[in-house]
Amino acid sequence: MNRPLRVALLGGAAATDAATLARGLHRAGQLPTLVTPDPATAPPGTEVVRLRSVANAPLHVRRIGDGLGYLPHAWIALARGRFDLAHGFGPAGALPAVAWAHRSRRPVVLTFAEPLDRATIANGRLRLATLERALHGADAVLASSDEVRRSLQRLLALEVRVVDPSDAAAHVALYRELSSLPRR
Amino acid sequence: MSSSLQATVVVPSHGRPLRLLWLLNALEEQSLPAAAFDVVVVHDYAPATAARILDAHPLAHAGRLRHLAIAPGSGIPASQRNLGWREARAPLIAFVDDDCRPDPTWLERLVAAAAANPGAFVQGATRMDPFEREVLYAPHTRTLLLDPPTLGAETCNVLYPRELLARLDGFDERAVAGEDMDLGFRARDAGAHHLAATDAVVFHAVIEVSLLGYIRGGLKWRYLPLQAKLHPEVRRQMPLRVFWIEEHALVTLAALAMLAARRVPLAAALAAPWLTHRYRHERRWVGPALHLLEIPGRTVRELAEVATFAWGSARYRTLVL
Repeated sequence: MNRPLRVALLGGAAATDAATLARGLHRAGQLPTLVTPDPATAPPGTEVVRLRSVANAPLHVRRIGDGLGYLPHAWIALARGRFDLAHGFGPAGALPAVAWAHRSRRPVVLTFAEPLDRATIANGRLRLATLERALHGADAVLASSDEVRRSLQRLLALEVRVVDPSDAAAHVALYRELSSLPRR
Repeated sequence: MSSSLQATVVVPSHGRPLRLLWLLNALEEQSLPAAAFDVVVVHDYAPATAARILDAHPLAHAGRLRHLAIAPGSGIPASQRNLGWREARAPLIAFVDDDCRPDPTWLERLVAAAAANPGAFVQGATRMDPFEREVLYAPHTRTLLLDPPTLGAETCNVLYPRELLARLDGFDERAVAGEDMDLGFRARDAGAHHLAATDAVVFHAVIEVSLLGYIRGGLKWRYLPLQAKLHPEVRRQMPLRVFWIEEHALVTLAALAMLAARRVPLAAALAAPWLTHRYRHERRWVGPALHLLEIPGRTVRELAEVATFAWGSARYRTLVL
């Protein structure tokens, strides 16, 4: 029998979806850790790492948003956690995972939980760079709904699978598949 | 292709597949009837990227998008545009860049202006993309704002009759920059009317770059002194007939003032026009305090541009700073 997978879930802007998946993974016998600035979203029994942001004022003045202030602490949390795999929700959630994976050579999954929109996809400091870096570094990209999948197809020319965050079994199967592939 | 084809949109692309995709999406959403235009993209992307971005696009599925691949790194915009318009089948050729997003009525308005003024070449307006406005808070950005008609006749938003392009033999491929300005001059010299269509709008991306990236990206301006040499009208429009833009004059004065201030401290006052100019123009974005901190970086990049123009001046033996 396979040993349980230690999965870091980085909620980004989709904390609810990450919490839903954490609950499902926990029930499926896996070992999820929710890496989030808001531990209140964590389901009972799930391990939580509470993220802290670097000083917000300078980032705010420079309009650097999208949760990038949490990036250093998220990376540290991943480096300390001995995870088998990291799963980020949204580009900002996946970015620290991609940086961690580069060093740890573990897989990264990126889920888009919200549809992308041309009016906002590049309207922010470092937003497009974050998106491109996250896409480049992710081993698998998922959409949480068909609407999201269509937006990824339209704005990123990506064909991705739709996997609902509540479908823990599908996620575990994907994690096992990625973990069995040769390390990058 | 049916005889109702009125315009071909020609796009040179390099290193920006995602923005190219967004441009194609915007072209697909044009109000001009689908049968009235097609698109030719000339690019240097890898086959896998071309398949994902171009072959899979709905415009390609509809038979309205063709693309020509050139060897990676071998293209310059002038040669790519020449390949593109020579491949075109329509009597009108609209040029747009891969970092632009045309307004839905863009092509309809360009084509209408051209139809009302046979033989003219038509320049539309270029605006900063409001979808990327927040990026302006970065210290260094690249974007473009143009109110037509401009001397540059910039190819991010211009339409030429194919017959005129053929008569002029297209763009001069010697220059990496300024080839659009040169074509505009040659078209006017050939008797073509340069028409402004202010309601034909494309939105130019706002691209965040590092200071080094800004300077590196500006090295292509070394080709612009050639235009001042070839076309005297360019020099007549330049500040003091030497400086390409006002900022170059002010920053050069400021640099000379700071050098002179070592011997005559009062000379430092001559840097004031540059400082006030910068402060007035950009304080609205990040606030006065932060803006003051940015002035050294802005000064470095403007001085680098002046040095780039000096490089081009030496190459083409004409003084443009």
